Amino acid sequence: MRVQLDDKILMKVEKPARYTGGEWNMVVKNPRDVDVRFAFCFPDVYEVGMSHLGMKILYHILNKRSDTYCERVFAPWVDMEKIMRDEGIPLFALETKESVNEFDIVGFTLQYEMSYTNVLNMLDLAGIPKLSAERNKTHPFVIAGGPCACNPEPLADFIDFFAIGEGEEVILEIIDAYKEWKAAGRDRSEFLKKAAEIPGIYVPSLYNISYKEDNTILKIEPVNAGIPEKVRKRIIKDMDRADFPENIIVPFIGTVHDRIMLEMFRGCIRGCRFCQAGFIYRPVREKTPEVLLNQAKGAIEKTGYEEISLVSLSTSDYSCLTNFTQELLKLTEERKINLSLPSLRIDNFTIDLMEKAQKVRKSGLTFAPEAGTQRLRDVINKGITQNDITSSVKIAFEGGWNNVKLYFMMGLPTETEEDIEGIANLAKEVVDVYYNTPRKKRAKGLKVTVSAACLVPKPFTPFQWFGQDTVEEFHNKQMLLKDKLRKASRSIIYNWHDARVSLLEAVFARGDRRVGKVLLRAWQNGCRFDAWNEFFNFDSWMEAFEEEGIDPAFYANRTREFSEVLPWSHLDMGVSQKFLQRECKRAYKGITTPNCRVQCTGCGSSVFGTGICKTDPGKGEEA
Amino acid sequence: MKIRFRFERSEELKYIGHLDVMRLFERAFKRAELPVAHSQGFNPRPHIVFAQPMPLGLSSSGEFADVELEKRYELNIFLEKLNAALPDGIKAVDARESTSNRNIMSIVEAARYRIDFNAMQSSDIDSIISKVLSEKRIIVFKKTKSGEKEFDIRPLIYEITGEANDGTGFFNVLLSSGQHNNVRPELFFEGVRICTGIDIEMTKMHRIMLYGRAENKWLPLTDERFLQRDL
Repeated sequence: MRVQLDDKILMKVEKPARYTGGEWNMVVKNPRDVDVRFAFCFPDVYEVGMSHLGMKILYHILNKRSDTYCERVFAPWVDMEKIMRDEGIPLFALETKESVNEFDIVGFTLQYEMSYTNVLNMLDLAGIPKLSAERNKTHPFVIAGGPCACNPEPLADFIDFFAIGEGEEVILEIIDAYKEWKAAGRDRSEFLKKAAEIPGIYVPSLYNISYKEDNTILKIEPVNAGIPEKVRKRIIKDMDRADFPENIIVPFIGTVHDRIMLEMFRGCIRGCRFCQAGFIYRPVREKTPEVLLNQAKGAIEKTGYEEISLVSLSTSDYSCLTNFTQELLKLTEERKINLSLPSLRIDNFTIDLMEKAQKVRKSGLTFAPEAGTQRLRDVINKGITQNDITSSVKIAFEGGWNNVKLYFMMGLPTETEEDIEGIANLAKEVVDVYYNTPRKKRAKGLKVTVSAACLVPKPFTPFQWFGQDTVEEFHNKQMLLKDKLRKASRSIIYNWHDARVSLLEAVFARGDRRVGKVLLRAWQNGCRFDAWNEFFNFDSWMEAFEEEGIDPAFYANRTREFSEVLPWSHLDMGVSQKFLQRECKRAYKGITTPNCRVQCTGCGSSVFGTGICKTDPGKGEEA
Repeated sequence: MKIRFRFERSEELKYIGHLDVMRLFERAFKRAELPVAHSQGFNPRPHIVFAQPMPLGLSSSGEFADVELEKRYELNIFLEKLNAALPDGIKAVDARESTSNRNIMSIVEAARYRIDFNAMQSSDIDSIISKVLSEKRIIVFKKTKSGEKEFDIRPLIYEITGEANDGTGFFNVLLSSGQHNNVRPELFFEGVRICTGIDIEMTKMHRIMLYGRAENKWLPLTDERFLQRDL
């Protein structure tokens, strides 16, 4: 069914172009000419979803196949949802405007836990049963992937299967297996069994979970032989040869990241102990400068974008940064294109680079010390010193920047009041550096923004066992910091996060299958767009926990033993539990671990036999 | 070289606002590899100037813009390159070289619209039109930066014709437009409601053409008289 959208609907909603498609580079196919229709769903509004690089990559890869048509689906904003429900308009894809329940495969990307209720809401709007067990042969298969899929258990009841790790290759194997299954006209369950044979595919219904009396997990086991006991993530071995889209869709309306995103490498050498991305995307695999320059040139020509941004977990760690950026600058200057350089370590070279790259006004510079004292920065393995920070901001102030953002986290293991005060001291130090910069050199009007997030301990990090601070503890720390910062300087602005959101994130990041009931209940209670302040309703969530008899503290605030069977222990992201335990112990002792280029720490990712593990494996493996 | 071009925007692309249209053209010129001259200074901006903003919801067959190019192009080559880089729903249809120094926005003095409507009561369209035209003054409230302001739109309504039956219909109106005394279709409708008392709802608005005034005539902005170097 093709939905009819006319002025009566579109002139009543905010930003109607969220729903009309037709953008430059949108792929147009006749859906009757393909074997597989794939609905790529991003569980948030258009402007957020269209900023996601992973969707652009998979859209491109799927649509290169002549037998497949991949279309985009976003969560309708609340105004549109109301009209859709009132008028009986089902969830539709932007390309053909046809309803999602007619597709073969509906795939969600899971980027943050607070989008989970939107997954349920979108299934509901599509008229697809929310529970996998209730779907039959008339329904699409509902699959999911993305970083949150490394602990997929909270969504185990709703998603037919998950793709673990990077999706570029496995998604094509899924399509092949689906075509074969469809041609054979077999049962739905047959396809799930087939899918489970594909490396990197996890079919939750094929695993039994049993629990102990204390509510922890006793055992996770496959329901029958032939189903893998452990599912290992998939990765792209050679980034240079991985398909990367140049003809990306250019939206009509502004999106969050409205620019070309050039992915330089995957993974991160640093190993900051709180950072999930730093562990689950291992090993570091770079693209060569030649490949990147060609992709940049192609994307510029095919999109007309006025800005290009480098994308990676840590731009400064790219091994050919100097040469590459010099070449890239030639390309962008000649075409009057802005070059955006996020996540740079500030030194004389990078300041010079930024001056050249951004002809526009000097926007804010962001630093992420993450913790207020050296002791705590060692605990989290954030390999920077007070001196690194002050010398960086000195260079920035002398270069005419006057707007500095400092990112911190609260609730880190071993944190004391002294560490919280350390945040205020460090911010004050930054203010002092500004006033010690000669008047002639510095720009007028200092603004230092301190943001302090609440730590959400994540699976596959050395902190995966750690009990999160309670909302009350976070609140006390926030008030303490607020007071200290107020006394430190009037130039400092303090932003804090809602600890109640962080509590929910912690539950769903490390939850097991049983928290799925809470999710469904919360959705029934009206929760959606929980990542948006204006819609986040903590009371509805707490009611949902209560109604389902589930204690959020069990998942968020409880510190686990190393011996506990974790809900994700049947998944393998390449980093071994032994390594994570070792890192956890070192954290508590305040011992730092060198980065992958200095020394291999034996994390386990060498099993993939690629990237930094192969080309630049530090100084030999640690025992 | 400076080129003035006329473009159309169809129904399918009318759900974006003026800033989106501007950005769309900037990107299209980049894709077309038509080098647009940029302003000097700290934040160089491409020299593309639109005659009149296009509000969200308006389709049009008579929009105009001036673009300053760094190189010379044959006008038909210009159109071909630009159109190949424009998405479906927006199309450049005419291009002229301009040697005028006058800002294109200052030329616009009137706009012709076709405005579709639903009326709650069935009323004779001719009597509505003659009622509006017979008024000496039609006072509406116009939102300004400092609040609402009384505004007499009667002298700014130049022509009205229309057709209607079964409660739906359309007006074809020529309204004052441009930087001063701009009468948007919504404001015209407000005026119709006020002086006839009829509950009338606008369902669609289409701009047929933007005009300048020369030699006592309404002329499209690509008319020779607006393209020549000012004396």
